[in-house]
Amino acid sequence: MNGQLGVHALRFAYGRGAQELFDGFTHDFEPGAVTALTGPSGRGKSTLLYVLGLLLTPTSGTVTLDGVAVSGASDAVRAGLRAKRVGFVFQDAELDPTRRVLDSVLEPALYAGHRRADLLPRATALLERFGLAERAEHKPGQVSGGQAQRLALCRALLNEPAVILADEPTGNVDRANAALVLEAFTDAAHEAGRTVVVATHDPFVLERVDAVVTL
Amino acid sequence: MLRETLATTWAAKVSSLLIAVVVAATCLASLMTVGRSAAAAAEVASRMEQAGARKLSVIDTRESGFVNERTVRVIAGLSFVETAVALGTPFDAVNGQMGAGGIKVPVWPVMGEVDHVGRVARGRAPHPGEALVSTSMLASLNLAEPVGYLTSSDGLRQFPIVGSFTPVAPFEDTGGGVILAAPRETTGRELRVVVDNVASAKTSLPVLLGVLAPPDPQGVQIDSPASLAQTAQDLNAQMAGFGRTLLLLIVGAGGFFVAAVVLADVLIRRRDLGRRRTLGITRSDLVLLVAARALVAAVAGAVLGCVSGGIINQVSGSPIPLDFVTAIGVLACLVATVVALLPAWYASRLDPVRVMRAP
Repeated sequence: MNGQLGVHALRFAYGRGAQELFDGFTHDFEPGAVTALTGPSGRGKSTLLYVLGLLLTPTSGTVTLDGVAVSGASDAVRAGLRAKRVGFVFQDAELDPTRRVLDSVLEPALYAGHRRADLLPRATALLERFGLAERAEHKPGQVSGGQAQRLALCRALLNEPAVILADEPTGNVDRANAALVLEAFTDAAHEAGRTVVVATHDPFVLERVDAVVTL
Repeated sequence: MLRETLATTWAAKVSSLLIAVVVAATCLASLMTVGRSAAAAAEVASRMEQAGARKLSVIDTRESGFVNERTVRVIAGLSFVETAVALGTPFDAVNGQMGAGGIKVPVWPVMGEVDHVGRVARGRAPHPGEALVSTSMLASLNLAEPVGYLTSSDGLRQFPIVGSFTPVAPFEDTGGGVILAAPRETTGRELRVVVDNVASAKTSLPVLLGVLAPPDPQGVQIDSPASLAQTAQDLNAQMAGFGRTLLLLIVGAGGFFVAAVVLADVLIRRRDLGRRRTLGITRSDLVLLVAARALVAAVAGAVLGCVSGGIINQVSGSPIPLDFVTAIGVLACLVATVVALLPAWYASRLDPVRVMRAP
């Protein structure tokens, strides 16, 4: 699985003349560990997450995955890596409001080139693991915020990614659900050896992760 | 991807319905206007293809004998000639058994294939000197069956009746009398030629006159469909041009509205598209998804518009050929898909980070 994610001499700006972020930041995110990115607002926690997720291209420096520089790859290659090797968890879960939650969980399978039927058992198993099996046929509007975030976790784990990137995943859930989410991240890192990077300023999360990177 | 396309088309009900309605209206408007115009043009073309419209007539007004068995045979063998038959000067005859008191009916001597003039209804094909009576004239001649004989009104000639016939275009005028297989060595007055297509009528005439070689051009009367063909061609060209322009306007307007609906849908669903990009859909697949969604809705609309347009035209007595209806439906779907490509391309270029981070 690997998932050795690293950044080297990273700099990023949203446009010409915009404030430059990261100041040549270099770091390796270890597989098997949950790493939190933290720091004051505006320092680029979420931006770094999107750079790591190959949605943003660094102004200079590189992002490497398993030792291969991937930040300069073509859009199609980066999209393929996101689909197959990266799982995203957003602050607001971002489930498709028009579809059943089971369809939302299965969505990444489509982009990774898997047949829906092949991953249906895995999606069902994930829903059961996170206590959401009975919600499979519901629409996202019919589940609670905590359940929605757990559904987003199911979706992120569907393709068995090497890397999981989460942007303020506990921002909109209560402590009990935050604990469940963190437990899932810890399991993903410690048991499955995934690289988990969480952008957060939540002390509850910072106290429970394996490593903290302050920007 | 097909399943995803169908599911998202169904999920985006309002935009899908709007696209379907616009495409249905496009098809319906096209069929009610351009379709009817095309149907009328097809009707004109069909009529021009009928034998009556392809008939050339050369009359020997001075009966100088250039319409004869030989010239008819030669002309009948020309590649562009479908039928060549000469008719002699008609004369009156009566039922021979009734005598001079019987009702007079016109008799047309025929040189050439008699079955090109009339189809034998009863009896057999006549040999030279034998006659067929039109089925509609049997009663006038007091004939229960097409047998017996005819006597010319001057009483000098008699012709056995060997059957009855129904006239064939363009010889419908013989339906009011009798046709007589002309005795050998007789000459005809009028040569009727049916050419294989109306457009060749103009070029055929010099060839026919070359074969006939009338001794005196003043003694020839010609009736040609060339000017009719030209008029029909001009009319069809004008109708086709008008139809093309109208179709362009209707389909263009439909395409504009479809593009607007797809663009609005893309703008409304930016977050949905951003999520897909974040989760790994490629730009090309996103373009495909947006365009295919438009196509699915367009197909539904095209079916609705074409079926209703076809039914309305059928009921109103202006049936439109099925291939034209199909072509309109396919064109409308094609245009809807093509115009959806631009907003789809725009969707693929949206910055997913900016979209996802927007409140």
